[in-house]
Parts: sequence; structure tokens; C-alpha cells
Amino acid sequence: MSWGDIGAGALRAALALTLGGLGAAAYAAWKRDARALASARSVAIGTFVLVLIADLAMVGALVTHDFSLVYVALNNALETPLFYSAISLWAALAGSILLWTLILAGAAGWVALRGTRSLPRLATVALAVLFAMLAFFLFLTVTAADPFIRIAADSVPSNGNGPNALLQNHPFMALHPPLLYLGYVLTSVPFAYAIAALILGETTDRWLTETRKAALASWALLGVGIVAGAWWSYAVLGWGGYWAWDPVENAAIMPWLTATAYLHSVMVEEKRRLLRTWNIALVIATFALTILGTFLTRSGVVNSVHSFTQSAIGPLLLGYFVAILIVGVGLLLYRMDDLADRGSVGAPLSREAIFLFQNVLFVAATLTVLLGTLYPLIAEAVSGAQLSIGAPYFDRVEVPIGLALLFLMGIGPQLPWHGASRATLERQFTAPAIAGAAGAAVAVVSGMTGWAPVLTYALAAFVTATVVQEFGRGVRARRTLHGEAAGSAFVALFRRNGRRYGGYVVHLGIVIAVVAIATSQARTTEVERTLAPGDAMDVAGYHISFAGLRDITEPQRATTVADLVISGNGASAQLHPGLVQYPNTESAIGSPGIAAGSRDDLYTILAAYDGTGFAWATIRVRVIPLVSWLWAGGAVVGFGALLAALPPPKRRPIAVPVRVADAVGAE
Amino acid sequence: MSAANRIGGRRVLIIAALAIAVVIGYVATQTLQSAAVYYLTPTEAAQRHFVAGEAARLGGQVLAGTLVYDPASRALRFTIGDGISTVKVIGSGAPPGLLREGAGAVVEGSFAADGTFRATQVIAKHDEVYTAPTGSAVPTHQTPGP
Repeated sequence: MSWGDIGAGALRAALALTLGGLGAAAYAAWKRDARALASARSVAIGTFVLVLIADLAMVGALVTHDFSLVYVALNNALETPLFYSAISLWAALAGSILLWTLILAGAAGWVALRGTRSLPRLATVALAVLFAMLAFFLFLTVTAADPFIRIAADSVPSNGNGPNALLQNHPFMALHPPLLYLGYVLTSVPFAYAIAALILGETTDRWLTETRKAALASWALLGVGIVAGAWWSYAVLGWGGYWAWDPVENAAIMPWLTATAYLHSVMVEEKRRLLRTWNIALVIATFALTILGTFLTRSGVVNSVHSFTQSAIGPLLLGYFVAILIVGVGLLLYRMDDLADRGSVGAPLSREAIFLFQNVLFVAATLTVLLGTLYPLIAEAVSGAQLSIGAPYFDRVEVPIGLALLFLMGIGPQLPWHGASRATLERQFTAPAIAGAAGAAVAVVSGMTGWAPVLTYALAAFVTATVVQEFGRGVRARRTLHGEAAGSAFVALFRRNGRRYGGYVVHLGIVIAVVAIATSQARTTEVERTLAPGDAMDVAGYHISFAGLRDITEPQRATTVADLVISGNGASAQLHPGLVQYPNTESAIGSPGIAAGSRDDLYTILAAYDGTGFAWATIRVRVIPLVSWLWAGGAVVGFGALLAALPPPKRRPIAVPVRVADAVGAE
Repeated sequence: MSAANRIGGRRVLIIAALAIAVVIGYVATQTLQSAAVYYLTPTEAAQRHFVAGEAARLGGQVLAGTLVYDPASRALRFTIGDGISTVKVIGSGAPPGLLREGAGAVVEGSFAADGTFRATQVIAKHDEVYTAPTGSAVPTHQTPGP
């Protein structure tokens, strides 16, 4: 039996099993039949195992270079190192869908084993919804995105194409796609529960507390995956930037924006039983956007509105997206009356009002990104005009929205629910306002020009001060009440209320990232020089001497590198920017040499060189301040999300009656 | 905080939220108009009969096997096509990191007398499909089976 037989067999068996599971789960929910539920559970586990076998079969085929499979022949070569062979599972469409299906099967398994024990009926319907999605993806893997298509036995090539050059140029390729897929796929858990709640006419918010961790995890993984993708773009593509507002990036950030809105507005529902329809709409939108993004980036529609029908998967993904919208919106409208809020958001200066504004801004950001991404397609479809929307549109629209959100990030957590008095405002905002003014002063003194960077610094300082103030007050309260030392009081804040204080850590991570973005965008220096060996150039305090060019030959690629010796600014490093030639591409690929530092990155690119005698090289140098802090900020956001997901310690029985919402919230 | 205050507050809130939405919608559509970069397909460009040196902007797909960059002369050559016509493009400098065969590109510049397009700027458009969307699924340098 070949890898292809194992994989294709496992996928077909998984599809049949999933359809059976869908029936079993639906029957179990309808008749409250325990035996049907038990078989649905077994099906979930069985499906996961089968999809895992299929994924492992593909990895096996890749690492053993089984070129009888089209996918392997197109994305692997004998020379491909083992590591890149293994991660080529997600180097192209069919393998990515395979990984996606595995994660979805894992999510279904989790709901089957854990979910159906805490909320049997709701989770059983949610499981049926997940089985339906899984059936769709398994259908893709046996039709339009079949990873196990074989090449006729008499024409199996002796060697394959090798992975796409850009994807085998850096180990980060191993990191960011799986993170993004995990984020994308986990949005289907809250979606499945929301749909289940709508189907059953649930009037409680149990689905929402049950899926809190899944929503948080999907949001955090998407966010970290986006930052990892930006890092990959920075370290691999050799253009010295990390974000270009291209459709692939937009596809990832849109569901993250709506998920961020949801994580906040859900608190309004928990505390005040408001915005229930809105929250379900956000869950549906987030999930639908992950599918829309996949459709946009995988169907070829980005190149031309007419090209998506050329790909087999395009129409199927579009149909899936439309089906999700019809089911989601249809059910939401059907249950609208049951979900009506009893009460309303009141004072403009209350926490719920800030959440409302924040939600409006996040949704506006999502819609404007969507508009910029789809506008070329709409224009082409309507008038036949060809046009592209570049970074200027997104910068001009999204930067002000982002700054407004930064402002609200400082205000929201400082305002009480229901409304604030004047005294509260003074108590909460005096110190942060002073910090904000100081931040603006720092920006101006350090030579920032333009309103956006200066405002970013001011708001960053403002938000940081509010977070520090919160931690300070929390620690002081614990010291007074429990007599704890400062250090243990600080730790206890996370242990007792991880969600709140983890959230503040997330906010700090965002501040770090935003400052890094503003500074690196506003203050990058770029110089390009053609140098002979022995020549040197000076850029922003760095002394860069060019030692010469040399060829490096590896089995899978040939590289020409420039040897640069760096000194100045306390740096002492050797950089080797190069142009890499892979056998499967005509054009060489730039591979930057980067000396990363906490103050700035020295980013060097070999732009051109004398191919005949190695007599000269054109070196492009970018000095990019604080850009490393962007990755650090992403890590802090992920860490904060982890803290927010920490289970609180078991509560001792206490005399004071616990409010039901708190007890449910404690999980 | 009195009930009357809250009702007034609610109205303020709704008006403010709507105002934000309207302002953002207005700014976005205005910016969209000014930021849109219009371009012609190779077929449309052929019908327009550009004079040599006249500024033009073309868009199309970078055809497989045509992208060549010579590091010594810094000459960047590729062919863009729209399925009907093709145009040979010559630019200068290393290709943008996202420019690749099978993906879209928009080039700014002018036609030379010999019919090639001299690009002063090359903008890459790309999606996650790293190979050309058309063509056979079998690697080009292998003979497909019967």
C-alpha cells in the first residue's frame, strides 16, 4: 500500500463516517437519545483519527519523496531538506486544506468529548453543525482539493519541482500558517454553538460562557499568526517592510478585527445582558470572514474577478460562504424577538458605551478593509475597469480608526459600568492624561513629525499609564486586605482575576506593537550604494564595510552572498544578504541580512552585483527603528491571552452569596 | 444618575455612533476614489495604440517562465498577459519581493518604439496560490501520462 492509498482511503472513510455522525448527532439532539449521542462521540474520535492518518500519510509521502503523487511532485524535490519536506504539508492549497480539516476534526472531537458533558443538548447540536462543516471540507479533499491525486505509473518523474522558493527560504514558514489555520478553524466552535443556540431557541447565555476559551484561543492564535506572518514577510521577502495591505493579509486581519470586537462586547452581555443579537452577529461574521478570506486568497479571484471559476475550489468555497451567511443570518432573523434586550446602554461615559463605540470602530475597520479588498473586483464586475487599491487607501482610513481605538483602550477599562461621576473621571484620568502629554513631548523631542506618530506616542503613554495605575491599585488593595507582599499580590491579581489582568497585559502588548509600527514607519532611513570589495558606507551611525561576494552551493539551491562587516552603534556583526537561485524559479530571490536590535534593525539587501567578476555589488541598507518590538508586542499579546485563559483557583465556600453570573463566569 | 439623564444619554450615544459610522463611510469612499490605481489590460493597451513615451499603466498576470532578473545590469524582464494579448516589460532593479510568475502585477511607465514596455514602477499583486491558476496540474518539465 502506498502513502496515496492510505491517505485517500482514510479521507473517504472519514467523509462517510462524518455523514453518519451528522445523522447521529442530529437524531441524538432531536430525540434526546443517549445511544445516538454515544455513537456521534465515537464518530468524532474516529474521524479525527482517520484525518490524522491522512495528514501523516501526506507528511510520509513528502519526506520519502513519493513523486507518484502530484502534490509531492509539485511541492517537493529529492534535495529538499527533511524539515521543509515535512512542513510542505501546508506549502500549497490541497495540503493546507488537509491541515485545516485535521484541526476542524480536532475541534469536533473536543466538543464531542468535553462539550457534550457540560451542556449535552446544545453541544450535540453544535457537534452536528461541526460535522456538517467537516463533511464539506472532507468533500473538498476528495474532489477539488484532493491532495492524493496520482501521476500515471509510467510517467512518475524521477525528481519533483521542489517547494515554492519563498516558502523554503525561512523556518518561519513552519510557524505562521498553522497558527493562522488554528485561529481560523477555532472560530467555528463559537459559531457552531451560536447556531445551535439559535436552532434550539436558547434564551440563556450558556453557549457564550461555554465557548469563551475557544473564542479567546482563536483570537489569540489569529493575532499571533498575523504577527508571525508579518515577521516572515519581513525576514524573507526582502523589501524591508512587514505589512503591505495585500489581500492575503487583509483576509487574516478582518476576522481578527471582528473577533476583537466580540471579545469586548461579550462582556457587556455577561454583565448587563445587552447586545445579544449583536454578539451572535459578530460570531457569525467572524466565522464567515475566515471563509471569505480563504475564498479570496485561494480562488484566484484577486487577480481577476473572472479567474475564480478557473479554479475548482473557488465556486465551492463561494457556495459554502453563501450557505453560512444564509443559515446564520436567517436563523438570527428568525430568533430576533427572543433575543431582544431588556434594557439599554445608557450613559455615554460608561464602560458599556465605550464598548459600543469600540465595536462600531472595529466593525467600521473591518468593513473598510473589506471594501478596499473587494473594490477592484466590484469595479471590474460592474464597469470592466481594471484598478488596484494600494496601501495609501488603507493607511489613510485605518490609521485614524486605529488611533481612536487606542484612545478607547485607555478609557474603557477605567470607566465603571452604568456611568461615571465627575469625581471618578478625575480620579481615573489625571495621571494618564499627564502621561499622555509627556508621551507627545517625547515624540516631538525625538524628532517625530506628522500628527499620526505624535498622537500614537501620546495615546500609548496614556494607555500604559492607565494599565500601570490599575495594577498599582490592585496590588495596593490586596496588600491592605490580605496583607500580602507586593510581589505575591501582583501574582495573585492574575490568579484571582486572570481575565481582567490578562486583558491589561494584552493591552500593553498592543501598545508595544503600535509604538513599534509608528516608529518604524515614520523613522526608517534607506540608503543604496554600489561598492567595490574593501569599500564601506555609513548609515545612521552604522559603518558597513563590504568584504566581497561569494557563491554558496547547496543541493537544493545556489546562493550568491555579499559579506558585510558591521560596526558602530555598539554593533559588531557580519551580515550576508544574498540572492538565492532555486532550480524551479527563473528569477533569483532576495534574502536579506538582518542585524536585529532593541533600538533598531539594520536591514541589508543585495540589490545587484557583478555576475562576471564579483567586482562590485549594490547594497541597499535600511535602518528600521524599534521594529523588533513589533514581534515582542505580538508575543506579549499572546502571553496576556494565556493569562486571561488561566482557570481561577477553586473557590473556598464563603458566606457572601455569589451572584449567578460570577459563578457561571468562574468556569 | 437619574432616568431622564440616561434616556438623554442614550440618544446622544446613538447619534454619536451613527455619526462615527457616517464619517468613516464618507472618508473611506472619498479615499477609495483618490487611491484607486486604474490600469489597462494588454489587450486594451493594444487597442489604444499608445505613442512611444506616452505614460501608461498596465496590469496582467506575470506569465510562467518569463521572469528574469540580471543582477549585473539590474535589468528586470517579464511578460504580462491577460489571456489574449501579452506585453514584454523591461524594468530596472531587483523585482519586488512579492512579484512572481503566475501572480498579478501592475506596471507604470511607457511603451518604447520596439513595442516593449519600459516600467518605472512595478507593483505586485498576489494571493496564496503560488502557481499559475491555469494550466495542467502536472509539473511543466515532466511529460504528462497518456
